[in-house]
Amino acid sequence: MDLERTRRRVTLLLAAALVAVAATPAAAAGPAKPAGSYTIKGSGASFPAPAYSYWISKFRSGLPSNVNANMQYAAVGSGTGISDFRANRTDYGASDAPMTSSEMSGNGWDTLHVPSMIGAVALGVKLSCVSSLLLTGQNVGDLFSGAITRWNDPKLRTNGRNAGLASCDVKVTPVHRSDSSGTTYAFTDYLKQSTNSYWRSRSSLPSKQPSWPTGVGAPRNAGVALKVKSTSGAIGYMELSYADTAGLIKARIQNPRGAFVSPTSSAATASANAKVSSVPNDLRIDPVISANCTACYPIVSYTFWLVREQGQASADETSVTLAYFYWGLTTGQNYLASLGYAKLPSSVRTKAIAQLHKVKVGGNAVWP
Amino acid sequence: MSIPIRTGSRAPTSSARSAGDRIFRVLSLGVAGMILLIVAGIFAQLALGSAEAFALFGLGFLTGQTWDVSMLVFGALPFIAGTVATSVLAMLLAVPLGVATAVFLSEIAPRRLAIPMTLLVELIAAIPSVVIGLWGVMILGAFLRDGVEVPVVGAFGELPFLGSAASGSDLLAASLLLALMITPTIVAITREVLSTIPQSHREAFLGLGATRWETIRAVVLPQARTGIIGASLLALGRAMGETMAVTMTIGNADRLPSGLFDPAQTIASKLATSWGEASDGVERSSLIALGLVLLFLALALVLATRLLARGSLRRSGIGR
Repeated sequence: MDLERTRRRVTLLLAAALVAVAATPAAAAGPAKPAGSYTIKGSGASFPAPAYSYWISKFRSGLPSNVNANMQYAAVGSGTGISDFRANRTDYGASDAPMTSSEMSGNGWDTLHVPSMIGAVALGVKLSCVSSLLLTGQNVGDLFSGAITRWNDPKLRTNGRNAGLASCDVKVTPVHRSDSSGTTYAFTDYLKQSTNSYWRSRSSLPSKQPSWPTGVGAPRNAGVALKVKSTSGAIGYMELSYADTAGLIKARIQNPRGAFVSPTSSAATASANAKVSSVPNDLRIDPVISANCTACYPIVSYTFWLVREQGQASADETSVTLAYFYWGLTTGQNYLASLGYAKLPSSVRTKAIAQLHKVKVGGNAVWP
Repeated sequence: MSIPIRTGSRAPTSSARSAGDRIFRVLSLGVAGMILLIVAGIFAQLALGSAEAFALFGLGFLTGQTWDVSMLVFGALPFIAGTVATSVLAMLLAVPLGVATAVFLSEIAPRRLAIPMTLLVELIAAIPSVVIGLWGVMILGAFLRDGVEVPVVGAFGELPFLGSAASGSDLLAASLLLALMITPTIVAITREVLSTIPQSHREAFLGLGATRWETIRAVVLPQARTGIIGASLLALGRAMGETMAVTMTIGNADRLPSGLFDPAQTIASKLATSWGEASDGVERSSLIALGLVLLFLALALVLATRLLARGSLRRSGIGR
């Protein structure tokens, strides 16, 4: 079954690649890729990591033969990504939450936020008695606060939903992140904005590392997915692609319009498109998109590259780095749906590309 | 054991010998002093780094039950409890098991069996802790959850000292894993100590008409006592500091556990999961303070074990 899914994914990717090749007129556009050998290091969010590693391999295979770029991306979590970036240990950072004003000051350079993609935060569930699950916002809050402790709780079966749960006398094990995480920020922001009174009263939310009233912790998206997969009755929040890979039930969550929506690439794009008007010019977008439309999935998050406006590497290396970002924002977007992520709205994409033009090395714009 | 004596060569002159002695003295003094310096340096660095946290929370840091980065409230009690609970539990399991295994291997088992078994026990010590942790997550955790915890909680509800989370990632899983990891240490050292006890002591007692069990109890174990205590101390140190396997199986919950079936966090596992992302000054300082607490905790447990041992030695009249 896994094999089949992989095969289907590969086919989809091939199709996407064909479309991409057909859609891009000439690959000449974008920042220059001067000949040479470069090591380009990035670290941060694990949320987009599967897409980034795919992007990197695709981008590198498309480079001219005289450009040798050794590109490393370490999925160490948004928190570490930001501290690595601030300490100048990496060429760029990656985070699901924009940097705070205090994090942006005192670094010796200005920080540009470049959104790269959108991802849906899926609630992955391991249960054998049902094959699908409809959850209201209240249910989600109750499951993670300890107010619902067994899957046969009648609160999960109101209005004729989830009839199969009646015979499901299994303990609920909520799984949360044990490290500082942008995914946690997105999820606790959703909880805070939900109707659940416990989470509404938590004043310190949203947070990348809140204190949890119950449940088990696991490191990074992959750790949460593994823990949920190996625990009957577990529910955990993770980026959609991780829930897909682990083969978990993805709960359909009720949005403000009352519709139960599956976490899909198109539902994530719908949410982003519905909120495009509130995107600020510096692109430090509130990562969590709680859009009010029928097709919108309610827990969707932007993820960002963090780029130094005053580049610290050589002009040539910075140019190749920018070429990678540009590739991701153009060609790369076409691969996202098949990888379990979603495209940026086109207006946000245009603004993101404009950010790349601002990068200077020694006072000169790298990509004027 | 005999010491080989070289008879052919000339004895060194007395002045050469005293020069050699002096150099050796200085060298060993320097090396010994270096160890002291390193320990003092670690203490000083930890004390310096944790000053901010202790200034902010005072001794309340030790009794605080909340660790909330977003509220900047840091209390160490859940981690102290997790560390003490896992290492004490692991010791309770591993010391009897380890000593009994060592006695079997050196006193009872025939050579044919003792040699391969010793090898196997030493093999356990050579398994990397991340591999043990993986086994703990995939096999032990799943077994404990489905085979022990869920049935027990289902039958009796929430019992005191057990808790009810029953997820297989908890104090019980981490303690069992730790016990498995420290048993080889205890076996290896204890076996070594037992083998130094002269065979004539055993034979004398057996000759008086004692049974094998009586010999082991009255002759072998009392003489090996200090060695066994040393082995236990080494094992305790490993249990308190073990990070990887514990992080993978303890459930990483920054709360005071209510029982064996509840997820928890030890100081070592907390440092491992949180240090990389701690960018804020107070959080960093609080994590360093946790390190200092671990150092003192280890010191306290070592002293307690020594006192306990001295007491029991005196009672049995073998103190030296």
